[in-house]
Amino acid sequence: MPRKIIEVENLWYKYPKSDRPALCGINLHVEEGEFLAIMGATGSGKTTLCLSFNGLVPQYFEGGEYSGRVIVDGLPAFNTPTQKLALHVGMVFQDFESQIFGTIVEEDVAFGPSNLGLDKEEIIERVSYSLSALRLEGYEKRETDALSGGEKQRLALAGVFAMKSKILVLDEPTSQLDSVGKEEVFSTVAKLRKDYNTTIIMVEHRSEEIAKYADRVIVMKDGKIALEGSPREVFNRISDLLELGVRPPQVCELALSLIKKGFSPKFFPIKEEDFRSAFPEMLIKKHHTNFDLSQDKGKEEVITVEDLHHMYPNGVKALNGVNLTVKRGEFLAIIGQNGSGKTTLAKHLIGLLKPTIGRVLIKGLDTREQTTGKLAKIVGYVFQNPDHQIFATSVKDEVTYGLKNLKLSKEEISERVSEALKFVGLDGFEEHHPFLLKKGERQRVAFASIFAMKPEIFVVDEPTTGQDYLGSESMMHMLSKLNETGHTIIIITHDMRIVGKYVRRAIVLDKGKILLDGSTRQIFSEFDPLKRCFLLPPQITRIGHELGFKGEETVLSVEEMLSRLGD
Amino acid sequence: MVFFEYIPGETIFHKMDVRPKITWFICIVVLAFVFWDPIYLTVIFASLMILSYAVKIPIVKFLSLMKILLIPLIFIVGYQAFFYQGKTIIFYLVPKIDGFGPFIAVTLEGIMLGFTFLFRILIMVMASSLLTLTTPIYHFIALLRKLRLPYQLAFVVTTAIRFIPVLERDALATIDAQKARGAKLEASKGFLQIIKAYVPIMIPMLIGAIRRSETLGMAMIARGFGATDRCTAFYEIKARKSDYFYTFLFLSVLAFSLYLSIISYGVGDRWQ
Repeated sequence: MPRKIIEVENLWYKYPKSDRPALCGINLHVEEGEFLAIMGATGSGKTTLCLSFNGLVPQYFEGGEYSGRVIVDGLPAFNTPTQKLALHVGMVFQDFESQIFGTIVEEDVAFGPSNLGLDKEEIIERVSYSLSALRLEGYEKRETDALSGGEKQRLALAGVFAMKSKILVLDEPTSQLDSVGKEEVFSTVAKLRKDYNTTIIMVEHRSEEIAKYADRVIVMKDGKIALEGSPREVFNRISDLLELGVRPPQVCELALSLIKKGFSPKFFPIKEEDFRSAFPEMLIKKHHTNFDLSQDKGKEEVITVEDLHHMYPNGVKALNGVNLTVKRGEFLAIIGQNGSGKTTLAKHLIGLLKPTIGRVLIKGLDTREQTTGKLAKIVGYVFQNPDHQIFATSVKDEVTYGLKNLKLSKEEISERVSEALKFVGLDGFEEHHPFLLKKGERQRVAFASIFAMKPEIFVVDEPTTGQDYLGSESMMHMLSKLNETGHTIIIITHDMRIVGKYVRRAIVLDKGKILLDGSTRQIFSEFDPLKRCFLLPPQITRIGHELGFKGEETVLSVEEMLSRLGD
Repeated sequence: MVFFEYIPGETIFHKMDVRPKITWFICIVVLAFVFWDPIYLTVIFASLMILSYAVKIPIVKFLSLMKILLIPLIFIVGYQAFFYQGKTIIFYLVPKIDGFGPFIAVTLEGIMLGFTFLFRILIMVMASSLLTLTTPIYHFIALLRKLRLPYQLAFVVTTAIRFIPVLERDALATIDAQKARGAKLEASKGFLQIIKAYVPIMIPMLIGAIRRSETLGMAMIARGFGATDRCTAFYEIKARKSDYFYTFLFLSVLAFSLYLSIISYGVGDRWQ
């Protein structure tokens, strides 16, 4: 019987100057060596709970209200200094950039052990032990700033691991990473469990990985634990999960829909490879679909990219001959690994970058001869992080900014502002301070500020990154609605599920070139080329592939799959 | 970033301890100010060129710096050439016409003084770049600690340097985001207008930095910052025999040069 390494008893916590508690009576035990996943919508208290494990809650915040008990490895987290608890619990924060202190890798890993005042030899030994545990051998002298996202995340882990703590707490470690980075983090964590019996507590939105790696899941809502159990117990309560803002794996959605239709599985599948053995008698119906994009044929070309090359001033060649035409009303996704040139390509569409060779035409206008301000009337570019643009003291002023730059009349501006806020569902928020809004709401403010400029083409960088299920869905619904009214939509994304569900055409970038270009169905049928650039089609497509839906019969969504299974 | 950009290498100069290197740097700076004769300064400059070739620093690094400095440099040489009242007149900028003038004499002494200032700036830029390009930042930090400066101070310096590129990326992202909303940053004229145009850039950056510092503070404590008063220096600088030799060598060159200048060599009186 493994011992309990963390015990939380009736924990309540209210941040200073907050009007409602962030944690309301949490009871939780974590066993040594366990992998516990914490899920839930943004603002449900996940991060606060994590901070209570190493005593930052309540010690770091002056004037909060704390009651209940947290015992970590025998120590009360309430009043044991965080520096001392650091020997037992290591915490990796969501923003990995803010927790790297060294300019070179070994210096950063040594930061924690140096703080403890250990001998030099011991520190050197811990640095190499930690780097090898996180598969970063050979990186000792590398500059931290030049690492990729996945490497930085692993470095953050290495820095914490060098403290030799038995418990690792990871707050959304993969939300900023591409699929290679995600895989790096999950496989590393699995290795730490196996080799060192490390206890893992991870806040994570990605249910498919949780189903694969976690022993136990808790789902939080409004500071309480709403659901708790093994992944299998939690993921078959789909209607509860969706209400809690958690998206279950597609295989669970599929299984539950089939159960509703009267099928009974041998067991409830939570991993894609279990589907066939759970429903061995399921009949598979052939179904005719095709790669056609006929609804977008014959329309006016709004974007023409001809032999586009781009080289940055530091000599990095980001694009090497891209040719692309986009017609009015298309819904297009640009996919590819980090560094494949997605954002570089997108920035050319609004003139933020100019071609080194080749040209880009937006409705016939050559971007080399246009300012970004002019192109902004045609192309609306929504950036990934709303906090890079929000500066005003009210939501209304924030949305007004772009319109003032367009030199519109006062009446026109106020009309457009209320229309935009209505569209994103923030009417009534005009006078709110944008910095006090939730992350998802800030994202919608940023979107409204572009919407109000009435561009006919929308370019959206990572519309769903860092958002919970409800935030992602509402963003994609807005884009679909715009597309239905004739707007051209281009998104850049790592989220293949939304590509399958919402997007009609996809292009795959690899090393600055277009590797694949076609209907989403066609792209997702090309398993091998996708694999070569480390892309994985959505889970439902993969299950379909196993069941024999290949080529033109490739499945894109759970609904599509349901129509092809039956008795 | 030109400063603090370290280019790894295996040359003697790279491997030299940070203390003889700083001694070297101080020597060069002192020499550049002791001597006024541009010919002496040319010799120092040439030695720096040879050194930068020997330590394999790509010339592009300096050229990009020179590009920024070009206009002020031309201005400095021109200013001295035109306005220094020397004896040996070469020509007049405004020649004698109808009894007016001649005005603004360009003198040999003036030109030479211009070159003196030009070489001083070039020497300073070259020497400081050579120092930072061949020395990783943690050597300087280790030196700070060796000088018994508090650990906290050394930490502040490292962290500040570490976050320069992070903040730079944030700034670029913000500028792009506001441009996409039609911000006209280049077109603004006048002090107030420029300030006004940059408010939408500065505020998100400040707020972002504050948010970041919150996480940073928590992450520091979570990694044991402040756990003990006597925290271990991971990098220690140890002087080898050769480093003492180099320090001695640099100081001897300095002493010899000071002697030269005291007996009036290279102080530029030839050109006055």
